[in-house]
Amino acid sequence: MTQTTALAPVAQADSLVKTYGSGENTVAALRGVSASFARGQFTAIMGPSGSGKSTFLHCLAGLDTVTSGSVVIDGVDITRLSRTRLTRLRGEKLGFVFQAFNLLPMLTAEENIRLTARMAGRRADREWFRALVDALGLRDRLGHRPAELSGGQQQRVAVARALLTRPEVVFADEPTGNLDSSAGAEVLRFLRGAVDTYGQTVVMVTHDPLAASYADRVLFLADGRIVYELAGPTIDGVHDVMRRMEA
Amino acid sequence: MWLIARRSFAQDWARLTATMLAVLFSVGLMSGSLQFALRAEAAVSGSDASEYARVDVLVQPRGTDPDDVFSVPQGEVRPGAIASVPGVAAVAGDAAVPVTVVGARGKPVTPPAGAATALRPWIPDARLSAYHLVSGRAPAADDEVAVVRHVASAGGLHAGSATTLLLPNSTQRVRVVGVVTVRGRGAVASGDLILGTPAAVHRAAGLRAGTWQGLWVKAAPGVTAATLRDRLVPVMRPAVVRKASDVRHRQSAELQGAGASIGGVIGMLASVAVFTGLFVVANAFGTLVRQRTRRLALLSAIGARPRQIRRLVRLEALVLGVVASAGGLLAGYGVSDVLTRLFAQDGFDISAGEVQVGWVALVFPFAAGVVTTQLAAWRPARRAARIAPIEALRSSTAEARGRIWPRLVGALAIFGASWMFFGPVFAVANDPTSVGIDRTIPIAVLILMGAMVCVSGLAVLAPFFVGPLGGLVGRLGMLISGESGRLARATITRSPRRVSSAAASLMLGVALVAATGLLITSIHQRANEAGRETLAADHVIASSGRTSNGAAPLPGDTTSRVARVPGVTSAVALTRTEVQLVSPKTKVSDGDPGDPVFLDVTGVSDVRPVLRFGGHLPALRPGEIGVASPLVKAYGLRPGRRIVVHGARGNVTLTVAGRYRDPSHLFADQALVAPATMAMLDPGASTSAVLVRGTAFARDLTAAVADVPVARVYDPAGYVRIAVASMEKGLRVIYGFIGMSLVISLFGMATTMSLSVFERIREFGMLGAVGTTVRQIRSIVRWEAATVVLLGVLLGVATSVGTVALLHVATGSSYIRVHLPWWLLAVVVGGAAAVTWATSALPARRAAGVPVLEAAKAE
Repeated sequence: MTQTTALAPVAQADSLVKTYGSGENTVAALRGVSASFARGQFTAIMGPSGSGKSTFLHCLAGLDTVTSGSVVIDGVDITRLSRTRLTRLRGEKLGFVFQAFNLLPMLTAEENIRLTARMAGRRADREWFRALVDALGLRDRLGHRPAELSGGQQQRVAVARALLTRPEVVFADEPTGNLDSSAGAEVLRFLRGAVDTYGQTVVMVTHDPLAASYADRVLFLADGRIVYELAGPTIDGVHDVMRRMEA
Repeated sequence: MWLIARRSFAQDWARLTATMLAVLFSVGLMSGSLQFALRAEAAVSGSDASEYARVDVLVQPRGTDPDDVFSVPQGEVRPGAIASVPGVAAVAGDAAVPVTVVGARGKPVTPPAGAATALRPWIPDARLSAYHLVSGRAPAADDEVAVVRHVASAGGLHAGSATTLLLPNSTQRVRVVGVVTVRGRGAVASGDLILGTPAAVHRAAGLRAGTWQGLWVKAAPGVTAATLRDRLVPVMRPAVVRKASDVRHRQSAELQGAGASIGGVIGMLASVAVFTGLFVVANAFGTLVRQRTRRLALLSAIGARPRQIRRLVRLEALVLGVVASAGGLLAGYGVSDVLTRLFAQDGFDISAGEVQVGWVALVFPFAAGVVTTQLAAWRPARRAARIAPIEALRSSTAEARGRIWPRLVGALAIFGASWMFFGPVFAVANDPTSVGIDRTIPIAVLILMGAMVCVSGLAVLAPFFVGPLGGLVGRLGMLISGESGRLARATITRSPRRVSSAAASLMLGVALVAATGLLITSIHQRANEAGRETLAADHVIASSGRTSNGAAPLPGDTTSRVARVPGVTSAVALTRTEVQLVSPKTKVSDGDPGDPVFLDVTGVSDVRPVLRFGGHLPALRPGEIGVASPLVKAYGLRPGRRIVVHGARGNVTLTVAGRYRDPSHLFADQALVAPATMAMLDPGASTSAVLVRGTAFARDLTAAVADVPVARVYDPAGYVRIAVASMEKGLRVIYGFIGMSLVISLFGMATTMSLSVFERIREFGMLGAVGTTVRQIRSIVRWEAATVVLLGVLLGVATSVGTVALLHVATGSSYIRVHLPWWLLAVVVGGAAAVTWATSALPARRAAGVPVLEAAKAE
């Protein structure tokens, strides 16, 4: 993989505005956010509660509608797509890991992992499936239902599901929010590994400086705007920026 | 998708049990009604065995109604020189006398559905006779008869048993000497046959020597029936000569028509079941989709296309439909049995029909069940597909504020669709030639259908009513229960759809019960009232037996027996027959000849001592007829006008003497004639009741009629009661269907309510975590339930009162009045509250008991 393609943006947001309500009750969640995400890059998005970081991720992933502005994923402006085409694009090019509620309780771990590919009507690459399952340590757990798995295992199943279709971008919304530190670290190590080994692009919202330190760069949001960008973050570096933002 | 649908179903099936039962029941009702209808058809038209099977040509008297193939014409035919016509191989005389056979246990034998029993001559000539002796021998003496196999099996009779025949003018003791089949069947198309010696039947029919009511003719070998008919026409003039095969074909065509019309009635009732099933499934799936919002949104977020989600919901509905329909088919056999029994009690005995296992009886209800569930899941599926993926990420699923306009437009569209039924009501109501029950029934059916459609419209609008009502109940709750009342109010107004979908099922149930209750009480009260007002007799002798055409007739000599009892000042027999109005022709606007008009004629010597009729009717002389007021207008039968009617003895000209009113509709609903006139119309007219005036004791009267097995002595109130009850008997099937629909809607309500509680286990857990006691949680659920009851009862009672009011206006019948007795209202409210409590409080008790942590984890 050459340097130029690695840095070409695979996802790009341009002047994103998202407001809720109308008239006097209008609340602006995003006030013109522009950012681009290069292929093979791990980006963390941070900010205090209510800064709009989750809304930004949802809009970027086509889960929520935008009030104005555009989101381009792999050369397609997703704000102009019909629902069906947007869903198809989500299924084919994007992967998701959420904080919670992200597995279907009636399916086994294996069925959950294969779900996205099945819905897109594709057969998953068997080698790739095996590689993922082994890397995530889920081999013995494939036949279990989510209720029989620990929180960390559930989240690893979700990560495997997100990666199985080899998406252009994986969006993760507080993936470690519900996990203890060691389970969280496992998930983060794996995401980091996916970026390094397979050139996976990852965009992750978090409020945890430790989680953010796994990323290549951190975008800080406040009041619906990007206020700071930190490349090559460390735990201390992230803490510094956060202290300055609060001041 | 199939996998998810299957697993979702496997996971949620317990919660869907009630829905499944509801579908099962409605499919059961559907398949049961279909089986019943097919069986009835088989019973009615399946026995198309004709006694004319070996006959080539029939000679019948002049004036024989070519449309009425079952009554053996009661005119007279003289065989004359028929036997010497070339080509005639054999001739036999035929006659038929209406008869009721008393079975071994003293009860009259009911002929098969829609048919009658006749006494006819045994035909000894093997070339003509289709009667095949299966046991015993042919009747040889005047007190010997052979019976068809159906009579033998239904009446517990066999060769050698003695029985009683109730003839129009007498009762006769006879001995059964043989049992016959016709073409292998136990009865013929026209019903049951009692075969006596030709001489005995000739006498019973009151025929003059040398005449018969009809002649059976066999053609000689090599002569076709058509040729023989053409040869006989000039010889037998003025009698009518017909090919026997034509008569047979007409008979089977007629029977098929009758079977189809029975199927139509049952089908209509079954459609109520289908509608309720549709309603219930739609409601349950709506709730299910709302409950699964988060899961469906997650699917959408990870790439499930709207089409796939729609398919998911439909697949699940398919599984439900298939499982429930399969069960419903089994339930159908039970339903069909119940229907058979209900109808048999009304004298409509179809047990002669075989139980249907043909593919129509299986495939059609099954398909209907599956299609019903699919239709019902259509809207929830669309709603599921519209769920935004962002819903998966919200921590609590707040109910989206439904847009007002689409809901209003949808409801208006449904109300508009109800005019599909209400529209024709005007046409029927304004049709001048439809009178009495022929006018009331179609109007009632149309209005009830329209009302059902309106119920769905109201269900769509229900969420709008929840806000204000919830506010009201909530305020009351705050006064009584304090903080939990406040919480209840908040939960009610926050999710109006949850409350309204539970209330919608309740509304349907309440509307069904209240409308039926209103109709029953109103009809019952009015009929009893009018009956008591009209009847002036001191005693009534009436029949306690039943046939398919109503009460079994009394023998004609009942009146003379009664009149001899000391203290009887007058004993008046009511005889009944039906005639066709030949002239004047009914006015039909568009040129079609109108349907033939039949008049129900009552023969009575003098009504004044025993009945109080309205209007001005002079004493009727022979050749005069009194006409009930509504018919005067409908058919232009003004006093003084000469009319022609076609009775059992052919055409008779009568003069309209006056008009009268029988407010009870029990004694002479349409027309009155003197006994002498009745003899011209139908000498075999059956006696339906004998009205007695005088100081005679009931026990003396009872003794006088002791050897007439079906005769009972009633006091006036008692007679009115049984007369009204027999009038209402036809309604029993309708009550049965409404009752079953009610059960279906209750299942629907159980699903909706318990789903809505399960939906909130997490919420209850949260409330528990912040210190709400179990008692308070239950109180919240109770207040919510109170809102459901209030809304459901208000809408349901309003619908039923509106429907009955509409019926009252459209039919103009004094029998249908809007009068809501307080006890009915109390029963409805009490029942609704009990049902709501049972379906919500019990699951709530369990939900409230779930430990806080577990509840928090629940999806």
